This record gives sequence, C-alpha cells and structure tokens, in this order.
Amino acid sequence: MSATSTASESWFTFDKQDMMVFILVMSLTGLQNAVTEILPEFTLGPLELGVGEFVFIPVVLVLLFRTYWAALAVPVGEIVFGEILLGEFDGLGAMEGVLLIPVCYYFAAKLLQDPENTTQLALVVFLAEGLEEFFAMFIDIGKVYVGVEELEAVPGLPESILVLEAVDLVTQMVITGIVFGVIPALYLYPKLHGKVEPLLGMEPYEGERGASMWRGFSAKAFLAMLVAFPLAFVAEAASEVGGAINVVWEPEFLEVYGQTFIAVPIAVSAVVAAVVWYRATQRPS
Amino acid sequence: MTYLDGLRDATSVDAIKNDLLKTAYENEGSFLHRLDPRVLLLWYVVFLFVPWLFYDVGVLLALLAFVSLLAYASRVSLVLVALMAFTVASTLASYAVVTAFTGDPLAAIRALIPFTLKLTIISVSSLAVFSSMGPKTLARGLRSLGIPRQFTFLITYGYRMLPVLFEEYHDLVNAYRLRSAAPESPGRFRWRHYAYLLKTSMRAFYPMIFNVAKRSRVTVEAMETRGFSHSLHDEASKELQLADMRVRPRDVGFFAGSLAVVAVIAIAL
Repeated sequence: MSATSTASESWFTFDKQDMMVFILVMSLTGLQNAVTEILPEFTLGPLELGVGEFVFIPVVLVLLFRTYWAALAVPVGEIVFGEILLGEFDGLGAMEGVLLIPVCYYFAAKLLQDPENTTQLALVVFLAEGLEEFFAMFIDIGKVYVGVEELEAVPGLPESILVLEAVDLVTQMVITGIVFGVIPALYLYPKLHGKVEPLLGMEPYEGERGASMWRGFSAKAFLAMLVAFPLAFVAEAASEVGGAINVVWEPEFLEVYGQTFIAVPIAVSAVVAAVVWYRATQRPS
Repeated sequence: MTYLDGLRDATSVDAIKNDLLKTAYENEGSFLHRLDPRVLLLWYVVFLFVPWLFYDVGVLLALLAFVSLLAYASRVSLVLVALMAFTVASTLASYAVVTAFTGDPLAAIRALIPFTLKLTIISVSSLAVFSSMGPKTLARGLRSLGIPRQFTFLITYGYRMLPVLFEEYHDLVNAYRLRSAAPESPGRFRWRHYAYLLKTSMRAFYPMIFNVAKRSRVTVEAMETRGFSHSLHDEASKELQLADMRVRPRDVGFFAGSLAVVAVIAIAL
C-alpha cells in the first residue's frame, strides 16, 4: 500500500483506507481507555500507581499501520471515548495529547525498520511511551510554574514539584511503559503482524532483515516533535492557566482600575455572543 | 469464599460500568442539554478564562459554587465528582508531604490553593457542559463551527459503538475465564487473583482487535455505498443536517444570566 508506506503522501491525504485505520485505532484505544478507567487505580496527586493504561494497544496498532493518521487516532480515541462520552472532557487541555501523542508515536513507529528484531521492537515501544511522558512531564512542571505567582518565594515548593514529577516519570515508565507497554507488545505485535492488515485490504509492512533503526530516522518527524512540544505547552497553559499573560500583568492592572475591569471581558464576550447569534440566525434562510 | 469475592468484584465493576454508561446516555432532558451547543461551547470558552481574572479566594469560591450548581442541574455522575474531589485533595496533600522535607508545607499549600481552585472551577464547568451536551449535539455544534465532517462523524460513531464494544469485550473476557483455570490459591492480598484478571483482560484484546478491524471495514464500506465521501463536499447535505439548530432567547438568556452572576460576584465580594 503506497499510501501507508511513504511519508510525503500520507501526511495530509485522507483516503478510505486511512478512515478504516482511523476508526480501528480510535475504537480500540477508546475501549482500552474506558476499560482501564473501570479497573481499580490508585492515584496519589500527580503520582499514578496501578493500571494507568494498556499502552501496548495503541502503540502496537501504530507500529502496524505506520501512518500519521493512525497515530492521530490515538488521542482522538481517548478524547471521544474516555472523555466526551464519559463526561471528563477538559477542553483545551486535551490539546496537549492531540499535539504530543501523534508526533511521538509516529516518530517512534518510523524507527522500526526490522519487525522481526525483538530488541528493536522493544526499544521502539519504550521510546514511543518514553518520549510522550518526558514531554508531558515538562509541561506539568511548567504549568505549575506559570500558574502559581511568586512560586520562588515559597520555600521548598519548586523543589517538591520537581521531585514529584521525576518520581512520577519513573513509576510511569516502569508500570505503564514496561509492564503494560513493552512486554505485552512483544507478544502481541508478532501475532498481529500480517493478519490485521489484510483484513483492511492492506499489505503488511515487511521492512528489511537486519536494517538499523537509523534508516528510519525521519528528520521531518523529529522536527514535528520539536515544534509540537512548545505548541502543546501553550495549549496547556492557555487552558489550565488561562491567560499566562494575565498572571504576569494582571495584578497591578486590577489595582489601578479596580474590579470594574471585569466589565471589559464581559462586554467582549457579549459582543462575540451577539455576532454568533447573528450568524446562526442568518444561516437557515 | 473465593467465588463470593469474585461475584462481588464483578458486581462492583458492573456498577461502575453502568454509572459511566448512564453518564454517556442518560442526560437527555437536563437543563443544559436543551441549550444550543454553540452557545454552550462559547460559554465554556468564557469560563476557561473568567477564573484567571480573580485572585481573591472568596470570589473563586463563589464562582465554584455557581458552576457546581450548574453541574448539579445537569446531573453529573457522582463517581466522577468524587474522583475529582479526591484528586484535588490528594494533589494538595502530596505537595504538602514532599514540601515538608524541602521547605514550608503550609506556605506551599497557601500558594497552591487559588491555583487549585481555578483549575477546579474549570473542570467542574467542563463536567457540566460536556456531560450534559451529549455527543450527538456536540458533533453538530462542532460541525456548524466548521470542524470537518470526518471528525465530527467519529464522535457520533463512538457514541453508537461504546455499548457494543463494552458488551463484546465483556463477553470475550468471560469466554477466556471459562476456558482457563483461575489460580489455585489467591496469594497474599489476593495478588494472584488480580494478576490473573488483569492478564485475562489484556489477552481479551487480541480477538477484539480482529472484530473491530472487520467492523471498521464494514462501516467504511457501508458509508461509501451511501455516498459519505460525496456528501462531504455537498453544501446541501450540511444545511440539511444543521437545519434545526437555532440560537433561541433561552440560550441568550442563559449566557447573559451567567455573565451577570459573574459580575455580581465580582462586585459584591
């Protein structure tokens, strides 16, 4: 299948085959998400102990189909099944996943050149999860830094955030990355390889025996990852931290103009509402 | 005893499953459900930003009370609320515990409280909006705001498929359990029992992947037969789908009313 193996085509064209893969990956990731939601989980603040996610399912599927759309279906599945349907949607915060997960998974999937090489497979799975967790850790740390004013003035708080996030990264990588990632993926990938693709009318990815991972290093995918990280941070900051800008310049401003300043955003949103209403009432006629 | 315990586990998992499914499917008729999705989305965007304009804990608490009232009116699942409350409390507690080693825990908590309150206000309002909106309405709202149909379709697809997938998966897990032997002795803290359940639930995904692959192929083929790709570029089909979406006085009243509440809170406190 040319559309599934060449990078330049598959980035922006979305054909029927992509749609099938998208629905498949989305449904399974979503189901996985909903199932692990039900399983008992022990969350201690930012620390997550226990079954976080069955990461092997999305990773193995992305490794099988190797398109950007397959990778994009992973966060979409989580949003549709795990968040919108189960009512936990956190709006713009979900953008973090949409931006980070596909680029990390896609980058890692491209690195898999020899599907029969177990070491390579294990490394790729670990890398896919590791990259995403690593970026997410920075975003989590930055979020609190942006959100809490005078953070440095509180003794011990910045250090404790760093400690908690670092410990979280390690536990996540051991539990989610290895126990629910690498080990089941090593079992599942060979069992599925060459069996699922024909069901969707595609050729399985053959790769090349003994090929090194560097051949799959895609500069474009790497660049996309570097671009997505700051974007994800901004999206996260914009949602969770509202106006990162506000936190910086707001206080003096409020002191000068008092609480009447609140009239400005209210007026602005009222105008926006009027415009939306106007457009909505115009359309049907 | 083991059987009784197993039964109890199954029923409790079932209870949670039912509660979550109820959240997804039984929100018709709640207060926010009857509003226009576009107005609700706009309201949500406004409430993403409102909490960040205030620094006073009193104002933030009042805002939290207001959005909680809305969440109550839209019948949010209690499991989700409890889960959120626990997460908020445990986050604060864990920061305090770690800060006890590195510095002053009380000051850390005091610095984190307004920040946490703002986050909580946002999560409660998104709980209220998205659990009452319903995926079908949401998909139509997003579609009318210009999101491509391929993606809004997926939301409605998930809405239809979730119970089917749940059911199928549950059957597969049960089939695996019937065909395999449970561990002889449960071990300390019944860990062997839980490891067995976990392994079964992971293995059940193997046949599940094939089922879903077949189903997604059938879905796409059926859609093509009915002219899905063709309708994507057809204005008339879009208009037909969105024909009965209107912003009514009720929507404008809700929007203006909640802005008025915010203004009153800001000025009174």
